[in-house]
Amino acid sequence: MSHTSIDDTDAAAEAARPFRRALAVTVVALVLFVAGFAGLNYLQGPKLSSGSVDAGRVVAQGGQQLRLFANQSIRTVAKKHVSVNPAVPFTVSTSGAVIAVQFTDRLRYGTKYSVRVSDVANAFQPRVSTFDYTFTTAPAEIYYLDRADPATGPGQDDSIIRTGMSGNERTVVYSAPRIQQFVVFAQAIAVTTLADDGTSSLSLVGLSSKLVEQIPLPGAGAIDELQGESNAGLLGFVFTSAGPAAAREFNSVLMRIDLSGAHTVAPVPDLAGTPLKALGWGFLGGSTSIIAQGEDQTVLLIDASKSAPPVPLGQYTELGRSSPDGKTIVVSDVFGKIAYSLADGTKTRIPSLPIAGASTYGGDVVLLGKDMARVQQVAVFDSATGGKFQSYLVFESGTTARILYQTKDDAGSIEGFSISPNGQFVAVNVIPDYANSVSDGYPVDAQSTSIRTVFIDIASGAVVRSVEGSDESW
Amino acid sequence: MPTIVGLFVGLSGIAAVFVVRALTPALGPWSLPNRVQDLLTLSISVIIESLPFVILGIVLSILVQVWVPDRWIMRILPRNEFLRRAMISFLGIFLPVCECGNVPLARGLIVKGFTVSESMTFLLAAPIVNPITILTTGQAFGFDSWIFAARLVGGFVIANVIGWLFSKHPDQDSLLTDRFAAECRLPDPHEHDQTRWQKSVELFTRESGVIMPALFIGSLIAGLVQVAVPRSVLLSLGSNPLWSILAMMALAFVISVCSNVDSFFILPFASTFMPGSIAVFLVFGPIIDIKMLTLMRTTFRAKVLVQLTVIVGLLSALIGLVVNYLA
Repeated sequence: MSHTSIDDTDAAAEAARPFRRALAVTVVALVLFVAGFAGLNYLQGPKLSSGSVDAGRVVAQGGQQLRLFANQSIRTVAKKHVSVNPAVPFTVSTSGAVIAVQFTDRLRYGTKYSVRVSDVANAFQPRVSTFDYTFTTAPAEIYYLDRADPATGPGQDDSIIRTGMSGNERTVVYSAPRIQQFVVFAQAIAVTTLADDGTSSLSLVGLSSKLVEQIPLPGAGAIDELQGESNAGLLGFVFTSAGPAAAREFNSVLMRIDLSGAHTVAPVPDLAGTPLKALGWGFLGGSTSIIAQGEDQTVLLIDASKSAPPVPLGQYTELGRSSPDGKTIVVSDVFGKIAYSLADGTKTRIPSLPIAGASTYGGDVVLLGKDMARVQQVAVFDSATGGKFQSYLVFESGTTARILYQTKDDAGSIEGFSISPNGQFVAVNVIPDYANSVSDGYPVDAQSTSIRTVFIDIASGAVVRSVEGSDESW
Repeated sequence: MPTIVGLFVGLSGIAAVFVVRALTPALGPWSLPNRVQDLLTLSISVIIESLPFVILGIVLSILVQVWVPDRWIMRILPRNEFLRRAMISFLGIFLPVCECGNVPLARGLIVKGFTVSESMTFLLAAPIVNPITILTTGQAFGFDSWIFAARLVGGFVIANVIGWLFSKHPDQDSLLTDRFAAECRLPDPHEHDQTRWQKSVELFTRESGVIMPALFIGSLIAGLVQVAVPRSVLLSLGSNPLWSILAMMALAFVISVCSNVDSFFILPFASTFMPGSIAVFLVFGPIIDIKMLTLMRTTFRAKVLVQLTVIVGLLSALIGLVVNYLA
């Protein structure tokens, strides 16, 4: 090798020194940074990346989930390490980096819930973390029917109003002459209106589009007991054909419409496969099941989404209402009211509990789903006022009864009530002054022109809202 | 002439396979062993996925070398070396090919007058900082996610750090393979005799002859490793902040999936792996994987590729750890 060649090599090595130095410094610096952050990561436990819950569905349906996303896969979380405030029943499951807190029941409207998950760890690190997550459920949204007062003149429209539990905001979502009943679905409202001859028509009105679809009925006739199941998209009503009773094609026949498919009205079959003549009926909350009482007083359980035959539950003098969770119905026999569990078939007598020592006579009742807690309309014989009956709406649990509502000076009448799907509120339809009440004169479902709906928080008994109108839909 | 002979041999081979299969139906439903089938499926899938982009890259390379005047590209680039490399990092926005297509394009840019370090900056940044990758990453993980930000910023930073580091090298040509360095140095003997179209065809043939074998060999190796190393081994490490990063680097290295589609490939793993490790997969994979190393070997010396791999690996790991710590 010549001197020149050696000199060239040395010169090249000398020239490359800044590159080698920069390379070495870069590598060392990066190794140090990587080691530092690796240490920080090791000392840091799992973190909550995000949470997800449908604030609207969680008040409308039981079984909804809050999903907490950790930034890494975690060990299975035990239920004892999860707390929910305000306390509600729930279950916990873990999958990968997701903790799912499933609420057994519907949650309260407009309520802030705090969820804490402690001792969250992954499989590799000693550090544990605590996840805190808060969310606020959707406020209650109520629709009700405000009928025009005939005294203000003919041709006035009735209105379906949307409002909340607080404030005075009211939005007219649909107006039409002589609205009889309505049911609210996610995207539309089903409305029945009355013609002058007493026959009904059924329309589907888009909540946002306001488009109106007329649903053909099986001939001219009257609709009654319109009910719907929003989650399943099912609508039902009792239909009676127009004309003399002997010539009617349908007489108090239960009809159903699947709004998720072709909007065709079809009779619900009874045990013999013929159209079911219903004395009473209702959807079981949050399901496609119908509970109905046939003409022979047999109570039937029917899956409205299938063509399976009905399941007979026995004969009773009366079919009452189902609990908001759809697991229990109320039936009556000659001895009184019975809570009928659809889960296991057990039957429990529903006593009418005394109020302030006075005996009560039970009326319409709705079971709230737990420990026979219920809201019931009762009458109390008041001997002090010369044998007058006083009407109350009461909350009964265990052996105690608490008055939720009574009209002022007992001058009014409690016409009916409904429970919010989550069991938080009761809406009471009240005629404040029954003696001076005037009917709106509708041939079907006539109402007093002074009817009001009072909304009461069942837990506290506080009246939270009062509106002019009735036929509330949650 | 050798090209025509090669084409003839290839077509004859394919025809022979069909003839043999047609004449031997009595062999019944005979098929290759499962592992060999897996190997062929995995290798061919990488080739099919990459081939359009490689061809597009070669075409763009020819456009840059033959059809775009020198002054057009050079004039718009700033003189300051940092700003110049930063701007080169965004060239991928106008030349949106995936990483395998960028190799011939980067070769073309060197021929056109880019320094090797500038070409490296383009080669490393363009697969990530380009509209298709930005869109697919945003769609998969959300445009406001840590993973999206880490990928874009990480790709830019890695490309510029590498560009800065290798710009320190006094002899840029020594970073290249002898063959490619010679190609860059020597003037084309036919340059003045050829039309642009003739030159384009010759360049296409030459680049294809260099890149295609590398692509096929790289894809075959990637398929072999995937068959040999069960994916479950890598996935079992997903929930450890450090191991998950190393596992994802290994997965990216082995899978050799293109940057335009890798977001959707890795999306199902997002529930198992930590966000930092997903970011590492998306930053490291488009720069360093089996297929890319094979392709880059056509241009850079092995020592350079080792240095490149070490620095990119460390930077990717750091990005992943930072994301895991903060996210």
